[in-house]
Amino acid sequence: MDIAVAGTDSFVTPFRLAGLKRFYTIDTVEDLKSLLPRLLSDKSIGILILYDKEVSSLSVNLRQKLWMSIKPVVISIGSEPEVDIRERIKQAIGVDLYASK
Amino acid sequence: MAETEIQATRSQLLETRKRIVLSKRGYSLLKMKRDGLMMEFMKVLKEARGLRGVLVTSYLEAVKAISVAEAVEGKIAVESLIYAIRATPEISISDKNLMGVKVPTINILSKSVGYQERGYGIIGTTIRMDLAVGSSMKLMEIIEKAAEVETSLRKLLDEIEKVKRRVNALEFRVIPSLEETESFIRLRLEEMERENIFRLKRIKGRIS
Repeated sequence: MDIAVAGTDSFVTPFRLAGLKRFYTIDTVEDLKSLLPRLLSDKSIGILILYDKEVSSLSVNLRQKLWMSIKPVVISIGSEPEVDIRERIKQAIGVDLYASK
Repeated sequence: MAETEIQATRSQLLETRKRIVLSKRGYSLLKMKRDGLMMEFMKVLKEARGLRGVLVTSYLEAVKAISVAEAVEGKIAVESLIYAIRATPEISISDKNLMGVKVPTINILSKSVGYQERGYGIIGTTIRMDLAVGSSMKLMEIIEKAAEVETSLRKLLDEIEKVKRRVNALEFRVIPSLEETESFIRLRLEEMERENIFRLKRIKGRIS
C-alpha cells in the first residue's frame, strides 16, 4: 500500500524528498474537501498525511470520519502540538492523562 | 413509562423483574468492558505520549533542512533531487481487534536506505541536500509509527465514550425506571389483593 500526502506545495516537499510518489497539491481548504472523498475511498492508500491547520478547518463530521478511518489511516501533522486528541481524552476520561508522565 | 400506561398484572410484574435482571447483567458486563478498554487505552497512551512531540520536532527539522537546501542550492536543484529519489516507502495495513474495537496495525515493508541507495549521486549533491533527504526520511519513519498509535488511541477513546454513555444510561435511567415500575405494579397488586379480601369479607358478612 502507498502513503499519500495532500497539502500545499511547501507541505508536500519533505514527503516527496522521502520518496512519496502520491502527492496532491492543493491551494485552499475547499480543494481538500473535494479531494478527501476520493482519497478515503482509494483502497491502495494505506496512510494519508494531512496538514493539521487544514484539518482543523474541516467540519466536525468530516474530521470524525477521517480519525475513524482504518484504510487509509489518516494522520495530521504541523508545527503545533496535538490539541484535539488531548481535549478528547479530557472529555472521555475526565483527566488530562496525555500531559502527565 | 407513565404509570397510567402500566398494566398492573402479575405477568407484567414478572416481565419487569426479568428486564431488571437483564439490565443489571448488561450493566455489569458493560462496566467490565469499560475497564478492559481503559487498560488497553493506558497501554496505547504510554506509546502515544511523547510521540507527537517527536513528530512535530522531526517535521520542523525537515522543513528547516529543506529551506536551507533551497536557499543555498536553489529550488530547482531540490526539485530535481526529488525526481532522482528511487526509494519509495511501502506499508501494509491489517486490523487488530481490541475489546471489539478494530484498530490498525501498520507493517513497514520498505527498509530504511543508506546514502548509496537513495538514487542520486554523492558527487553531484551537497551535504545540505543529504540532510534534507535524511531528515525527510526520518520523518516518514516516525509518521508510520504515529499513524498506528494515534488512530488506535482515537478509536479506543471513541469506544470508551460510547460504553460510558451506555453504562450511565443503564445506571441512572433504565434500571431506576424499571425498579420504579416494578414497585408500582407490586404495590398495586397488593392493594388489589387487600380490596379483594375486604370485598369477600363484606359478601361473607351479608350472607351470614
